[in-house]
Amino acid sequence: MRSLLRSLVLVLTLVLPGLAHAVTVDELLGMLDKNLTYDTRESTMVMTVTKGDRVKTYKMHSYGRGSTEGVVEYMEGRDKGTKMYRKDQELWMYLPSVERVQKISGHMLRQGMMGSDMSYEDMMEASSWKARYSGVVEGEESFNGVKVWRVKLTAKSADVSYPTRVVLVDQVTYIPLRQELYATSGMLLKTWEMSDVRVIEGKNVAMKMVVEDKLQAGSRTELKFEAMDFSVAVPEEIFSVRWLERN
Amino acid sequence: MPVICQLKSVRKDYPMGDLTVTALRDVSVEIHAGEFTVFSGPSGSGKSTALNLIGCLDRPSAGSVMLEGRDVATLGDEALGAVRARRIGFIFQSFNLIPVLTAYENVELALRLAGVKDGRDARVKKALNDVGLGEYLDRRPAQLSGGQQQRVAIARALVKQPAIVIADEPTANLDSTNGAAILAIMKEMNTRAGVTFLFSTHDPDVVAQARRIVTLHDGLLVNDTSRPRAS
Amino acid sequence: MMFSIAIRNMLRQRRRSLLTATAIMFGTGLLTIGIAWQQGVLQGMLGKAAAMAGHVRIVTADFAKKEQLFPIAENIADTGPVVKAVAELPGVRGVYPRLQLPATMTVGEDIGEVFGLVTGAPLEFYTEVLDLDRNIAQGRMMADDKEAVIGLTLAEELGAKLGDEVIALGQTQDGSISPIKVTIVGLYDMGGGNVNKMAYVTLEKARWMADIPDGATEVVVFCADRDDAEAVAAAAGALPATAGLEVKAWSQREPWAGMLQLQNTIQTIIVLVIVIISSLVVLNTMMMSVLERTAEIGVMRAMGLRRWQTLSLFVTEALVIASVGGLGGAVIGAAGGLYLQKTGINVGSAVDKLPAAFPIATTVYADFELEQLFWSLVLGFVMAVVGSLLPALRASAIQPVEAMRSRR
Repeated sequence: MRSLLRSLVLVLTLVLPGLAHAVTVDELLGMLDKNLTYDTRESTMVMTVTKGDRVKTYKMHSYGRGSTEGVVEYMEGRDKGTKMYRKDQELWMYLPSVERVQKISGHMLRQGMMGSDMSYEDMMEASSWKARYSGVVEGEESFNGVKVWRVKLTAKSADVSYPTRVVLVDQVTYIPLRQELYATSGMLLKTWEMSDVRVIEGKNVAMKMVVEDKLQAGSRTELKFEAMDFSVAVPEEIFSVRWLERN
Repeated sequence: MPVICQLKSVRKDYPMGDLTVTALRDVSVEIHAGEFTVFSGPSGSGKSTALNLIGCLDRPSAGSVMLEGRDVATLGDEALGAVRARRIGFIFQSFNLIPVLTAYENVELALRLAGVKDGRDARVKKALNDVGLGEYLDRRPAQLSGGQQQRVAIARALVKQPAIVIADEPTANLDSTNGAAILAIMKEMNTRAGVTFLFSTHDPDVVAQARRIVTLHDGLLVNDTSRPRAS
Repeated sequence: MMFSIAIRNMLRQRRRSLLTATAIMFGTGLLTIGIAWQQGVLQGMLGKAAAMAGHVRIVTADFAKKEQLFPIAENIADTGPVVKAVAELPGVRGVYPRLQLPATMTVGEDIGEVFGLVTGAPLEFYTEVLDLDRNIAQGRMMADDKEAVIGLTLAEELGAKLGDEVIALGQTQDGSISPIKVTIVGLYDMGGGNVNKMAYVTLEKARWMADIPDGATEVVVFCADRDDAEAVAAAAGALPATAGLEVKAWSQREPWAGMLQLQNTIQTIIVLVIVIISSLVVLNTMMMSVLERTAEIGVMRAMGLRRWQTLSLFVTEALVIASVGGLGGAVIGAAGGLYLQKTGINVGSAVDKLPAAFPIATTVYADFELEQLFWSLVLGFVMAVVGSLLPALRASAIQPVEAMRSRR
C-alpha cells in the first residue's frame, strides 16, 4: 500500500514538473531524520580501515535506543572487549586491558573512532539533520544511475562539526547517497557515501558506508552492516556506564 | 764651482679655501756647491717656499727644480723622500730631534733613512765629535741644552754628506753665545768640507757671515748679491 | 729600530698607553670568558641532548616530515635488519630501537590530564646511554614489562610515588585507543628542570602499546665519539638496510642544526662587538698620539721616512701595546674561564620552561679550552691593527711641509 502511494507521488512529480521543485529543504531533512529514527535497534557490522597500505578490520556489535543512546562492543582482535556507551552528547569507553572506564571528551571526540575516518562525533551527530542544518535545494541530477536532489546545507549554529554540507539525496529513498563535508574556509574535509539501500521493517537503511578523510591521502573507511534488526527487545541495563564495566 | 741646484722659472700656488695664493711667481736662481747663502725677505715673501722647493719638500706648480742635474719636479712623493733622505740635510729652528732617541740614535736615524748599511757607527761618532758632543752619545734631547740639541741636529744633517743643508732659523731659539757657537760650526763645515748651506734667517750674525744674499719679495726675486770670498 | 722607537713611544705616553692596553686587556679577557661560557652552555646542552636524541637517528622519511605530531604510524616495521647492519659499522657503540609515544597519564581513579611521553627502549639503552641506573633517586630500574621508571618532575605532576600504578592512554599506530598499566619502581633525577619528565618502559611494552610488534618509530645510534656522528650517519645511510630511510646526525637535525647556527651567529656577534669597541678605544688613543706628534712625524718625513715606514711605525706601536694588553687579557680570561668551568652559574628555574629538546641542568658550567685563549690573543692583535690603521694612515699622509708650518 505504501509503495503504491509512493509510485503515485512519483508519477505526479513526473507529470507536474513544477511541483517537483516545490520540495523544501525542511521537508527533505525531516525525511532524512525519519529514516534514522527508531525505538530500538540491534546490528552487527564490519569496519575496514585503510590507511595507505595498512588495512585493519574490526567486527562490532551494537544496540541503539531512540537514536540518542547506543552501545558498541568490539568483538575480535586486539580490541576485543572494548565497549563504548553513548548518551546524547556524552561518550564513555571501557578499556579491557586496564579494566577502566574512560570518558571521551573534548578534542578526543573529533578523532577517528579506532583510527577510522569516522570520528566519534560523526557517529553521535548522525541523527539530527533538521535541528542542525538549514539550506537550499540547488537542483536535480543523477548519481550512480539514481535521481537525486542536490542540497546545500549550512549549519544553524557554531558547534556543529561541519559548517557546510553538500548532500545528494535519493529522491526515492531519502538516503543521502553522497555527502561532501566542508570547513568554514571552504576546504573539503570528508566525503561520505552510502549504498546498498534496503528496506528493513519499513525503513530505508543504507547497509554500506564509505567515508574518506580528505586531509589524509589514502585514508578510507568502509562500514558494512551484516545484520540490522529494529524490533528487538533490548534490556534496559545495557544503556548505562555501569554495564560497561561488567562482563 | 759647479751648479748644485737650480730653480728655473718656478711658480708655486697654494689653494687657500676658494682662493689661490701664489707664493712664488717666476723665480729663477742658481746655487753653486760650497755656497753659504741667506735667503732673505719679509713674511710671505716666498723665501720659505723657495727653500722648501730646493729641499724637495714640495713640488713647483710650474717650472723646474734641478738638483745635481736632475729635475726633481717630476718625481713622485716616495722618490722625493728618497732624494731628501740622501741628498738634503735639514736644520730647524726648533731642533726637532726625536725625543725618544738618544743623540747617537738621532744621528744614526739619518743614515738609516739614507739607506746606509755599513760603517754607520764610525760616521755617527765622527759627526757628533765634529760638533763637540763626543761625550754625549747616550743623552736624550731632554737631557741636552738648546745649544747641544742644535748641535746634534747639525750632526744629523751632515752625517750623510748631503748636497745641500737647508737651515731654517737655526739660531732663533738659542742665546747669543750658543748661536755664535752653532754658526761657527756651520761656517767651519762650509769652509773645511765645502758643505753648501742655505739659510732662511733674520739673525744679523748669520747674515754677516753669508757670502750671498738672495732677497725675495712678494714671490719675486728682487735682489741677489754675491760677496767675494773672504780669505 | 722601529721596534725600539715603538716601545719607547709607548713608555713615553704612559697613561695613554695604559688606557689602550687596558681596553685590549678587557676586550680579550671578556672574549675568552664569553666564548668559554657559550661553549659550556652548548656542550652542557649537547651532552644531554645528544644522549636523549641519539648521535645518529634513523627514521622513515614521513616520520621526519611530521615529527612534531609524533606520527606513530610512520614507523620502521622491522628494526631487526637495520640494527644488525648499523651495529657493524666502525665507530658505533650501540644501536637501539626506540619508541616515544604521547600519552595522557594518570594515577589512581581520576582520569588525569597529565600529558607526557612514554619512551620504550631496550634496557641497554637506559643503562649504557642515559645512565639511567646511576640517576635513580628512589627505587630501582624496571625489570620487566609491568614496570616503569619515571622522572621526579613527572611524579610530582601526577601526584605519584614509588609503587603506584600509572595508566598511560595513547594510541596504536592505527589510531585505536591504547592504554597500558605499569607500576612505578623507580624515580630518576637527571639534573632537574625539563629533563625529569619522561616515563620509561621496556621496549616490549611500548611496542605492544603502539601495536608495532617488530619495529619502532626510531632507531638511535650511539657513537664512540660524538664528533664522529656525521661520518657514521653517512656510512649508515649508505647501507642497503637503511634504503628509503632518513639517516641523520644530531648536528644535522633540528633544533640543534638551527641552534648551532644560532650559536655561531651569536658568537660572531659577540666577537665583532668586543673587537669593534676595543678597536675604537685604540683608534681614539692612537689618533691623539698622531695629532700630538704631527711635527715630529713631519720631521721624520722630511728626513726621508717613507709612507709605509710611517704606517708601520704606528701599527707596531699598537701591536706592542696589544701584546701587553693581550697578556693581561689572557690572564683574566683564563682565570675567569677556569672559575666558571669549576663553579658554574646556577640558572635555576629559568630552564624549566624550555622544551624537552633543550635539556639544561640547573647549573651551567663554562667550557674553557686553551685554544680559545690563543684565538682571543689573535683577536687582540686584530683589535690593535684595526684600531691603529686609521691613525697610522693619517700619520703617513702628513706632508713634511705642513708639519714644518705647524711648528712655526
